[in-house]
Amino acid sequence: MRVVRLVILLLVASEAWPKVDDATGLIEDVGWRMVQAHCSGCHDLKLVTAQRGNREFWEQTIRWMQKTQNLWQLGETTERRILTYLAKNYAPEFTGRRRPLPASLRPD
Amino acid sequence: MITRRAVLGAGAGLGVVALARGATRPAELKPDLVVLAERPFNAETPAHLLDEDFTSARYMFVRNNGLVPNAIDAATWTLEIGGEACLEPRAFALAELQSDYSHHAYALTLECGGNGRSEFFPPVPGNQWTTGAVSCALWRGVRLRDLLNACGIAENAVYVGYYGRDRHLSGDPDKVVISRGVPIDKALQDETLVAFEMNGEPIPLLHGGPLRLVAGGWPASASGKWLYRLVIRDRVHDGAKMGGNSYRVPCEPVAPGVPVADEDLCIIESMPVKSLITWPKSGARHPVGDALQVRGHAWAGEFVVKRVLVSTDFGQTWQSSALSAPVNRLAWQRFSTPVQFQQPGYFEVWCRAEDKLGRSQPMVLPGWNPKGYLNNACHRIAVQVA
Ligand code: HEC
Repeated sequence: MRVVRLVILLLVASEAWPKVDDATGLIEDVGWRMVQAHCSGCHDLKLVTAQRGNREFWEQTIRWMQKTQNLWQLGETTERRILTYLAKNYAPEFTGRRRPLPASLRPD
Repeated sequence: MITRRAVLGAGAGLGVVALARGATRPAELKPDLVVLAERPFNAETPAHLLDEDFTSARYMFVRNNGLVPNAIDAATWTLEIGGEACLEPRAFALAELQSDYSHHAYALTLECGGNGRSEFFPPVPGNQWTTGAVSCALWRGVRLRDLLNACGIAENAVYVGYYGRDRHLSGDPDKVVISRGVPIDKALQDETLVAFEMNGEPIPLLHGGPLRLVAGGWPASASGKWLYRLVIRDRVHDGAKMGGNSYRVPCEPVAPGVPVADEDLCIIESMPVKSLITWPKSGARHPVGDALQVRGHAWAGEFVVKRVLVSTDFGQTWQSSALSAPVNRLAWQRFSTPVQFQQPGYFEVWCRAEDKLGRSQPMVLPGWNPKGYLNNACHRIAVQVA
């Protein structure tokens, strides 16, 4: 019984948990190398990986950096791939009225 | 005007302040803080480490929009004052400010406008601060008012803007990282300082030394670091991060996620009423039957906190706490109260402050806004009673 549960857990885990690149902290999905190339020059990639948003959000963030923070033009294809990658892997996670306190703030 | 070369190149002399001897990264100066990013360096303080009456440098949060200057030389530092509404533009050496103008010291609360941003939904861009982008330290310096008066304030003065020596992340040496400020009325307040000391020491480089504008009770971005130039403006200052959705919120409330045009955003002035439980640490265990002494700080931007209520039953009942008067205007206030738990189990302690105008903290989130400013929802900690 326990073994079965463990196997199921591992299966679920390998499905559900995306692989994260150790050096950059980016989820290894199609386009992540492009994000590494274009988004790590000025600031930590933590600014990217700690952020959540839909495609429109990411597009607005890029436009804002282009307008006010010296971010270069990415080119149509590259930009489309970067947006697809970000909108898929760093999408908003639904939160309720207020989330329960995180595990780090709870009694062990 | 002092050149960048003069500031950065004055490497070896006395009075040069680098980040710290041997420390290569700002994070090494803040081992207890939660680092949100190394570049630009941004770090916040866990609530229980804000328990001191006045926040020491070690526990003070850091918000950078750009890169900290490499090294600065207090001995050659100057402050220029100019702008359209300045009658006699002039420069002051730091030493001259210290010797020729009277010194004033105040405990001043500085909170990042985006403190609490991480709780907004839909998510908003920027550092995902939780509760720890707030501090109250003892700042000492000269009154901004005295310096402005020394230069002459024209009748049409509206705003005072600052410029600092931080460096833009893109490496462009001509690009201003952030240049905000305060309306002339706030600039003329007793407590608005051009500060050179923090907690009795020269201001650490990481916190804007050798010279920092300090405007307590307002978003901390109004308190410009590495200050070398002030401008008295005949209009609302239009420096970097004064416009767009930076430090601005919808003039009329909007539903969560609704886009807001730039012209419908208003500049944040006073920060709202808020409180933080700094003792015990969230996650504490406590024996049933014993009173638990809960304490923390409360502040209300430009205003005074009237009372702080505490609940141990998810807000169903509230008890009052002992609240100290602020040591001066714009300082945070200490609250404390014993609480009793009638049975074992998982409890949360909530606190809720109310200002003199009767405004108190929401239990859920206050109005959503495009950059996630002004989250003053009540603070909560968890306690296991056994
Ligand atoms: C030319 C420099 C530069 C590059 C390259 C760059 N950024 Fe930024 N980015 C900035 C600056 C400057 C900020 C503001 C930092 C701050 O205020 O803390 C920023 C902030 C952000 C933020 C936080 C938003 C906010 O409002 O503060 C996100 C998210 C972000 N960048 C994502 C990206 C992504 C994704 C890329 C790659 C497509 C990227 N950045 C590339 C300069 C850059």
